[in-house]
Amino acid sequence: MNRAWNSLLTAVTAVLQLSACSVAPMTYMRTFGPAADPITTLGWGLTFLCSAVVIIIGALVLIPALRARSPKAAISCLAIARAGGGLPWLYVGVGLSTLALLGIVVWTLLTLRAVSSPSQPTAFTIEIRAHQWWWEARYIGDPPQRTFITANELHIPVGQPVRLELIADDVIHSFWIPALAGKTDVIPGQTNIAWLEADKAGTYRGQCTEYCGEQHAHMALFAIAEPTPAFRKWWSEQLNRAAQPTSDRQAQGEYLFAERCGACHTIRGTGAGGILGPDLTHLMSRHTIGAGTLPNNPRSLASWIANAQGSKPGCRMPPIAVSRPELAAIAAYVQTLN
Amino acid sequence: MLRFPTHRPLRSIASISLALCVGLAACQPHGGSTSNPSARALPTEGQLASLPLGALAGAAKVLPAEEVSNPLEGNPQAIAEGKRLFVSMNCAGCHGYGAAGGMGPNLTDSYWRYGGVPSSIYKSIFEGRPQGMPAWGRALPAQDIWKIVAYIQTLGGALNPQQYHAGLQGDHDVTSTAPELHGGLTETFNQPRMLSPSTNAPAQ
Amino acid sequence: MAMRISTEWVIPVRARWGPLATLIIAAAGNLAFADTTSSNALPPPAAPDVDQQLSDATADTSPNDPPGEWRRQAGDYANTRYSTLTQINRENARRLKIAWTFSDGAGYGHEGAPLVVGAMMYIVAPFPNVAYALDLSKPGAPIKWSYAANPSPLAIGKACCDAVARGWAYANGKLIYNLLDDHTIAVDVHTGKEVWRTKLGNVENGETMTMAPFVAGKKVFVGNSGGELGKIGWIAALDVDTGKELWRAYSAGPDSLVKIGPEFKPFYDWMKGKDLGVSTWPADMWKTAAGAAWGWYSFDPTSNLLYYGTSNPSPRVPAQRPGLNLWTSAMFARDADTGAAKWAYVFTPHDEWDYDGVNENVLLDIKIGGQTRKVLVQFNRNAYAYTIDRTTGEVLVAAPFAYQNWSSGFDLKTAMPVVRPDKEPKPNVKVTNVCPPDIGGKDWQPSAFSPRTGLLYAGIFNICMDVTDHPQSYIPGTPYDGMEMTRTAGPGAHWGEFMAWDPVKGRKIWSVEEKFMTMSGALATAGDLVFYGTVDGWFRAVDDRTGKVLWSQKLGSGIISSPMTYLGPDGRQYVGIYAGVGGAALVSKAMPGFPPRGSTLYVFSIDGESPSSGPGLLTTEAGGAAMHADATQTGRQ
Repeated sequence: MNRAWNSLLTAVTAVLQLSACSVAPMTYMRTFGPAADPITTLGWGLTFLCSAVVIIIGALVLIPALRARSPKAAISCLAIARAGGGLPWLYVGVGLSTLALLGIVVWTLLTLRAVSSPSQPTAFTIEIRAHQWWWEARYIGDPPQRTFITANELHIPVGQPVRLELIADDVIHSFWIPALAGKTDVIPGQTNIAWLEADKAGTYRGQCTEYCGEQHAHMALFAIAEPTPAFRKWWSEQLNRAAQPTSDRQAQGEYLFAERCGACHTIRGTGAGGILGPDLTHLMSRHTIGAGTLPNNPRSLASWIANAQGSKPGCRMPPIAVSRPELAAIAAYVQTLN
Repeated sequence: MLRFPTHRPLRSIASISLALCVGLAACQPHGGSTSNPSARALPTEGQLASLPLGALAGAAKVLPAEEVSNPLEGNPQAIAEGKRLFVSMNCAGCHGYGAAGGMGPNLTDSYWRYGGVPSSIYKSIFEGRPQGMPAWGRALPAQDIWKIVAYIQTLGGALNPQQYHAGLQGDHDVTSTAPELHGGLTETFNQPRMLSPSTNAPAQ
Repeated sequence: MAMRISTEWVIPVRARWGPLATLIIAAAGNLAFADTTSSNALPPPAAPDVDQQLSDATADTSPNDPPGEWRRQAGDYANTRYSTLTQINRENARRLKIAWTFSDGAGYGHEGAPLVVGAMMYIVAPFPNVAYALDLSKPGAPIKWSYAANPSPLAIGKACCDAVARGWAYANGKLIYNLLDDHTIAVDVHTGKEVWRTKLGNVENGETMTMAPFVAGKKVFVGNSGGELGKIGWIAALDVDTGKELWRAYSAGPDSLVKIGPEFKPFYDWMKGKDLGVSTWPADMWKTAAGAAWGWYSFDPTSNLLYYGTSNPSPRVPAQRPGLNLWTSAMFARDADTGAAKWAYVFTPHDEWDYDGVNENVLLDIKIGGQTRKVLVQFNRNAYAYTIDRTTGEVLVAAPFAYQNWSSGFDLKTAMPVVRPDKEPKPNVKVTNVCPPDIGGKDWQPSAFSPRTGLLYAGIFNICMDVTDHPQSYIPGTPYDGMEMTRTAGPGAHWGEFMAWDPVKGRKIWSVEEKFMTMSGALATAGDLVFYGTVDGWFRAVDDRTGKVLWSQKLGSGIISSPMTYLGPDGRQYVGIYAGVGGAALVSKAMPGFPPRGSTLYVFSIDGESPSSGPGLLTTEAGGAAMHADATQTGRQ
């Protein structure tokens, strides 16, 4: 009965976790890259090992405890014979435990070595600067004119390791894309190095995992892995300056953006060169606004521009006093920034 | 013989854990109050626009500048954010990182070309000034400008709203006043009469 | 008779033994100039010896203006700032006294020198740039005319380093000068009426013009300021008679904007390539690159090449702009007629300390290995004195002239400095004791060359800085800067020094230490004198061979302009110098004794004799055809 219940629980758990990708994108028990796979294997291995230990010990404890006894059986006037033959249990138990534990130590060290650096030279470097509460990413290109800045959404090529230089602007954050790598703290004044590699194309969600203030919970980031040709195309498109306005309303929006928003945001190719907030040159190529707070669609965009505090209270973007026509013009312009 | 507890507690633990997970997953951060420090309402733009840059002509006695103070004055969070804005909006590039001047004038001394009370400092930042000070009114929301004013007010040179007249008359550190200012003909024109607050309120 | 020292063995490049010699001598040079922990690592100046100081450097003094006149700021095209007048000399310099003075009433820093053409003296004051013509033939040197051009006051708040005017030019009966608000104007010198006015830029965006226009032939060359506000730098050629813009070359961007074409032949490989003014910057950052051409220009009439330098890159925070950042902190040789670049050299690639390349390039001819080389010498902001072949751009000598610790040496093979990582500024981190500071081992204050000694004379700095970088937003019209600095004196605790430099050997011959900064230009004369001034207001005459100070005079304010000399209509030689502190000298304004502002021109003669002083009731005559200044503009702050 108990064994059946245990098996049922294990099975349910396994099913839940295996399907977790769709339900819980932050699962770390199923990973997709060599920076994390060895850890996941170790994790599952330890889980099974420990489960086995629990089952074995549990069985050894429960079975004798639950075996039915006759009330009269044990009382006898004969001297109690010491149950002999217990030592082999000790030898076997200690021996197996030692072997298992030593094995785990070796396995852990091998895992740490495997994830410490990639097996091939990294393709390029992304400098990631963590702010309250968004991620700035500067792709370092060769030659330097291929260097550009984006925010909150990284693209990486499938099958190639990418080097990350992590530094924070204000307080300690922590960089974590669970499907691709373990956590790395992002500390002001210190540059930490990490690396990522994705085996499979897809969108991998990350999150800040060091409490960093009011909106720590809304500091997501996304790593989108694409095949190399698509990735190169994305990089080239990101290098372009912002799209030119094609209508009067967009032109008015461009002017208003530089006037009202340019002190904090950059749109390359215009007079807006602020670095306090994310670079918006190619905002519409990203899937979310506010580091995962809102989906990037026209309605959310307009509501964010008018009053970011309503969606992400305490974030650094103040409410902008814009009239409705001004807001419409700015939103119309911003929506052209692919 | 000790009986192993029944599986009932195990099931309870499992169901409690499940309930917690579901609860947490469904939990959204509640919309809390804005972290922007604001004890009092900000002055309206109309109220500030009506403040004169110079002395009022004629025998006018109503001087609304005295009524307008910085709602964020003395607020430590506002001052800290104002100091950050002072660097990130490039104010420090012209006025120096200690605000002691450079391309732009010294903000730590008591010489103010366009007035040193908080409302005058606000207006200078908002409107810009002819010798190169940019106009920030469209680029920065009012609250941010008041934060910068709050920071400037900690630097030692700014005046209180009540010192508006003293500022115009150059009386930063008065130890004594000439006797004829206390009585006689000059009094009517040099010193404002205290009127009730309602009559002091400027037209919107 | 002077004995000449053989210079063959000291020149590192083109030595008979080739690369090995280069290596040995460069290494020796590195060792000699290597930074030791705390002491001034420069070799002590050679003991003064009249015979041994002569170097065989010479200069072409075209266009060879009449010797009694001072028609251009630099004295001649080669920028020698040398006068052949001998009336005032080593023997009588101690008798120099003030003959007359003139105050223009403008309070900002006075950086330019008066020009004398015939019997007229021409002056342009700092903002609001009122121009004056003084009639030297009459007692009191009265104002014949003055002209107020009414520039926009907005320019005051966009000028990084005081609302100055670094000089003005004379050509074809016109006084040509820049207004702070990006206009170049020409005024008829006889009538004081404006002849033409050309708009070169938009002051609202943070662009100003402070430099002294440079006339060569029928063209006047001008360049912008604004390297601290993210304005892309440029140089333009205008027609002297009409003011029409003939060509303009930028300091960054695609080759078409930089005017780099098939004739461009830089000496070093790392400057060869297409569109380096774009590819050495992150995406689109060349548009706010700076590289302003705000310094001195020189010209070689035989090759028709114009030489000038470009300012620092923008923003001043290097972490925001990875890459070599061409063509900032560099210099160009351009064809004066077309503007096409012939060669370029970048003094400080990926400049992290604001080491502009705009200082004067003095054109000299030097004998190396038995061969006369046409070179130029620049005392760069980065504290290295460069001797560069001016036909090819090859660096022949690079030797520190002031204390520096930002580099551990110079690789002559690639002509690149070796940067010390611990002296590189980093965002939000205070890096201490970086030498020289942003204003350099020497700023724009120009040097002088004396053919009598073959030496160069310059006021230099002994200053260091603590620097914290703050990444900057680009907000047009505001500074695109980010360097928070505290400046202190370097080793020895003196802020300034006036030195004599041997451009052949790359070595200091003598120097005079000054407590305050020495930010004046230098003037060398055939009377074996060199003149300079200090920021606390001392004007000095010095023996050009030994450096002995023969005469000093305290003036009403600090001196940051250049001395000049002329022959008055009365046949006397006069020396003129402005005393009006400001400009970058303000970095030392916290020093006790730092003087207040001034606006006075002091003119000296032997015993102070002149038609403007003496017994009796001397009076001034009113001017002739005068353009009356608007009284509200004159002297307006």
